[in-house]
Amino acid sequence: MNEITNEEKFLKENFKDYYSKNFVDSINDINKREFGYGVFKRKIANRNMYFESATKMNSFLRDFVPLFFSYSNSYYSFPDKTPMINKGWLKSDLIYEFDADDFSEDLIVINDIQWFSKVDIDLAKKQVFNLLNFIENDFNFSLDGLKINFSGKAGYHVHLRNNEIQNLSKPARIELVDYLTGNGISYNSLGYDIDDNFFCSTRKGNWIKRINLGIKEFFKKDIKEISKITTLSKPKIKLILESKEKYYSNLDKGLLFKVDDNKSKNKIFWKNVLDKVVNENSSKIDRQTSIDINKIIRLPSTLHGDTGFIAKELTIDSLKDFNPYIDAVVFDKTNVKVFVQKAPKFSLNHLEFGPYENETVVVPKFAAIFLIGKGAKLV
Amino acid sequence: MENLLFGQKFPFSNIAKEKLKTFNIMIDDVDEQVIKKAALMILKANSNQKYFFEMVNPSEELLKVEIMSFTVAKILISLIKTPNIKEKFCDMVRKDTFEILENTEHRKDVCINLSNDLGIKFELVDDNYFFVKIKILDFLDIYFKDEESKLINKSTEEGFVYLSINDFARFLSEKAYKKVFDSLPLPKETIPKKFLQYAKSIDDQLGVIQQKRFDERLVGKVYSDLFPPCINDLYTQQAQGKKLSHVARLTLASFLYQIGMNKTEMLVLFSKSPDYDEKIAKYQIDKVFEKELSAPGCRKIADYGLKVKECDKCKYKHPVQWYISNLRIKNRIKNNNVE
Repeated sequence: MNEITNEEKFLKENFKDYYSKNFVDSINDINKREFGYGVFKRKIANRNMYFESATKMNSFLRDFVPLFFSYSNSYYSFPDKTPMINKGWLKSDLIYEFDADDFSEDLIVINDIQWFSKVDIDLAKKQVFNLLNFIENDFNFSLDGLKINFSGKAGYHVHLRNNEIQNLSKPARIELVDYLTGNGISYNSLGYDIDDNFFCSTRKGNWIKRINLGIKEFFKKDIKEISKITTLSKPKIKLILESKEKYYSNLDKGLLFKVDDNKSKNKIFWKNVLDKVVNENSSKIDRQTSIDINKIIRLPSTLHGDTGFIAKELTIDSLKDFNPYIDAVVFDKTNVKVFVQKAPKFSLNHLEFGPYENETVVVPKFAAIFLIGKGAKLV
Repeated sequence: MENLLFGQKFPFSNIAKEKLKTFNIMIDDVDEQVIKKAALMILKANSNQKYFFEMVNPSEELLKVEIMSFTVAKILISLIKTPNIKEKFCDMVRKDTFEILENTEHRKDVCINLSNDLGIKFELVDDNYFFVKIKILDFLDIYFKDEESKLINKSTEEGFVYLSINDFARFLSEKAYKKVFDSLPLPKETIPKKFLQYAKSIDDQLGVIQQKRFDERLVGKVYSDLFPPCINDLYTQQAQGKKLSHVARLTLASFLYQIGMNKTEMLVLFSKSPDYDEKIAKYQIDKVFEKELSAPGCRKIADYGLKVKECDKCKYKHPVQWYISNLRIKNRIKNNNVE
């Protein structure tokens, strides 16, 4: 058996203290869910666990003190049985996950460790609001069973727990994901003609509205970017932009303007424009999480072993101003001495830290735990 | 007569079921002709062919035989052990239904009748293009066997999916698939014993066909330069020791198995995984061989998120098709060079 390190011991002591003072009661039907836990640097070390009540689950959190704790979006008759087929699947919540590392372009990575800024995580937040737009305006799903939580590290999870949704089959879940991400879109099927006559769709439908509006927005980009996306020369784009209003009125009449006498060049141009518009308007959800009904995912209101942050439950309103680097911090300011190999400048709980390089520093406990999650050692 | 015709076209419908009751024939007493037709239906399904044919002035007796054959086919499908026959049978029903709805006279009325029979809720839409609108959750209650049924390519707003008459016909065909699929297998205890021998005989026939196909499984050298782009991407990542997801590994392993890679070579390839554990890897490779796993088709590969950009240019529906096709070209070139 591996010997427990000082760092893991330190994290466990503090997590134990947290779980002793806070009762986690963030999900329904605990006795029908599968649970799993992780240890230091290993998010899922064991799964297929079952708790008959919230009280038993909290006893486990206090006594065993997992550094990561996950639950299934599915409900089972026998959550602890293996293999999966013996669990007796009953239904599944719909979960959409947004992770900043999926779309952050300026992410700082030092020695393979990701350092997310608030800006990075806000990109994930923006995606949650984009998803809510789809849920409300396209699907018209009831928001009664909607729960949002911070993942505890660099993303957000949106859980839909309405009865009507829980029985969706896997193919139906795939269709929803494809709808949200624009995967498999056929412009022709939606009423666009970018092959011969260059028509814009005038049919009903929210994706069509998004695309038609997106086309106009697209031509607000600067010439250089438009040229790069469409591969059309800058002078030609300049000409289009000079007569933008005329072209826009054609779009409203259902006509896509021609940029060249050559049909295939027009086709390429419009394919590139529409692809870009769809990409910009689509939801950047984590595909696997959304279609996998056997996945286990962070339990809201538990702690994340990589950061020490709480996977905080949020409402649509509280999400707007939520800052994980302030609002998800749960540990106190007791001074702790740690050795940091390398860390960039970062902000936590209104305080600035770093940059550090091969140095021993005294920092508040919440920052020490955060740094330990990124490889710092206790001194 | 009208209901009989409807029942023959849509043998999975409630109208067909009701008609069947009026025939007053015990399932034990169905004659040879019905069983032969049922067997034909299954063989057609196995070869991905359609079954339905438009009859000119059919007799009442002939229509009865057709309706009964469908029920007997379902009984036989429930007993047959050939893998995927249930899926193939349901797919035949789906394709037949769509073809009937596409070509029938008074198309809108027939669609509405079938929709009512299947208990589908819809609202007619006053629109030049769309015929009906359906609640999204009702629309999602199909298995999306047809690429054309994809939600992303339907006009959707405020919880409703708008369908043209053509889309509606497609949706009803998918519903037919689901209805038959969900009804199978029939409880074995309700099936008379005499059907066992028929099922065995069909199983044997299908087995011979299957064996022929299995023999086509390639053996010998594996040419990685002939891999389709999606598989090539996984293969390259694996060979470079990058960490692949479980589903990606399974896709790659089942493809390599199908094209004839042996266990040892496969183990060498998977030993490059950063989380390699010989015991687990061996177990999983053994499972692939034991279950004779086939690689997923392109659609599933896309669903798994393993599609790559170059896939858009690919004309095949299955990665093995790409490989075989390119292998044939390679062999042709090689043979020509030898000559």
